[in-house]
Amino acid sequence: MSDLGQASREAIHLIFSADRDLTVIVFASLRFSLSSTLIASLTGMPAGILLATSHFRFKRWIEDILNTLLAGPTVVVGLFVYTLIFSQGPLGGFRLLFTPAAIILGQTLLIFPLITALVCSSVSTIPPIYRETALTLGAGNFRAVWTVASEARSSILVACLTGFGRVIGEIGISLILGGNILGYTRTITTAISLQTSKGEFALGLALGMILLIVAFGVNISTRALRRQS
Amino acid sequence: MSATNAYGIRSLFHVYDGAVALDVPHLDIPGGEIWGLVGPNGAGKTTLLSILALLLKQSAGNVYVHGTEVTMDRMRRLRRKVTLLHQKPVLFARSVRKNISYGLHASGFSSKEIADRVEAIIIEAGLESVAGRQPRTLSGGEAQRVALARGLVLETPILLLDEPTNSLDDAFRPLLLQMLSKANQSRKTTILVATHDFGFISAIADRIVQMEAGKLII
Repeated sequence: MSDLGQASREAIHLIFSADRDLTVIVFASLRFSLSSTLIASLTGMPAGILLATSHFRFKRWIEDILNTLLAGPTVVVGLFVYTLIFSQGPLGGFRLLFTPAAIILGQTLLIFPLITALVCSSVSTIPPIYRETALTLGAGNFRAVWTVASEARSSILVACLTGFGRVIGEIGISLILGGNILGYTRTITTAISLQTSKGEFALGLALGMILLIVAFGVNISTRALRRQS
Repeated sequence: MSATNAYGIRSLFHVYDGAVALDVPHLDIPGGEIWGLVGPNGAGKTTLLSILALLLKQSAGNVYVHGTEVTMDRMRRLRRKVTLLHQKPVLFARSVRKNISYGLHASGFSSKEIADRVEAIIIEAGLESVAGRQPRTLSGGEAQRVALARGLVLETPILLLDEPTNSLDDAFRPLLLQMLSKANQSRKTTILVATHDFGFISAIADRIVQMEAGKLII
């Protein structure tokens, strides 16, 4: 108990003194997570909107595949990307393994289905009469679809935030594809894992507290957006 | 097919859920007239309006708008001649003013033309006090007036209205009549109104047709 108390005090001290190792790790994590969320949002939003507003033969199949991928374990995604980018893999020539780009690629692949599925589900809740109204007011197909999507904008933002929440707390991809290199690919979660295995809890606890604060911020924002929608 | 007719319908047939929803062998609606479409629920009024608004493709038959046959590749161009006001006013989540200007932006009008038309219709529809508000703060009657203003501001040659008096306050019925009459008289707008409200439609219609079980009784 006293060890935990001591570690907690040290953790708080590390946070308030803006410890260099801690800030490097936190900023690396935020950079990777924000980058992957941005890329997955920029691709997943149009994909989800398109899926929700169009009708084609294999639509239901694609929805089923996306929904299956929602529950995909991060280590499986990490393993899949590893097989693509390791030195003998089809993308091995790009030398991506154990780089920030590899983590961002893996995290993007992890949350693309999530954002696509959530955006699709959000846009699908807008009644078809909104699209018809846009069309009868002279809008072309693109503007009509855009209008329908903008009716669901709060839920679409929630989808992106949910994606961010998923990648900021993942460990499988960062560990397998990043290699946990300090100052380069070490993230909050891989650092916590390493510190715990070394029996040094202070930095791990400090990072855990920051992770919880970020998760809390995401939840608060999500709730505010949900209320708005 | 005469271009003086707003609509020409030939052998129109529409099936919905395995049942015949519409069966109109022949109908011409002359341009510049106001027609009323009355009949019980399920008679096919809304389905007919959706087809005439070019939002729904009929199962069989031909529809002509101002003498031009409606085909898939002409649909977008012809749709710009028609405005449909749904029974339940559908307003987008943006201010009343932006709702009213939506169709003008979509149709590519200049900023000045948009501003002039929007201000004029806001005054005409008595919406000055709600112009900056969000639709969720409006009453049913106010929302209906915004939807009406948004449709009329486009000044399309054809205006279709589905039960326009449903959620309109009694106090604004004369205003609706006045706005429709003005559109018809000043711009020769063809107006087709589907309604249960016989008193309302008989006050302005040049002709009233009845629908029953998907058929027109003329």
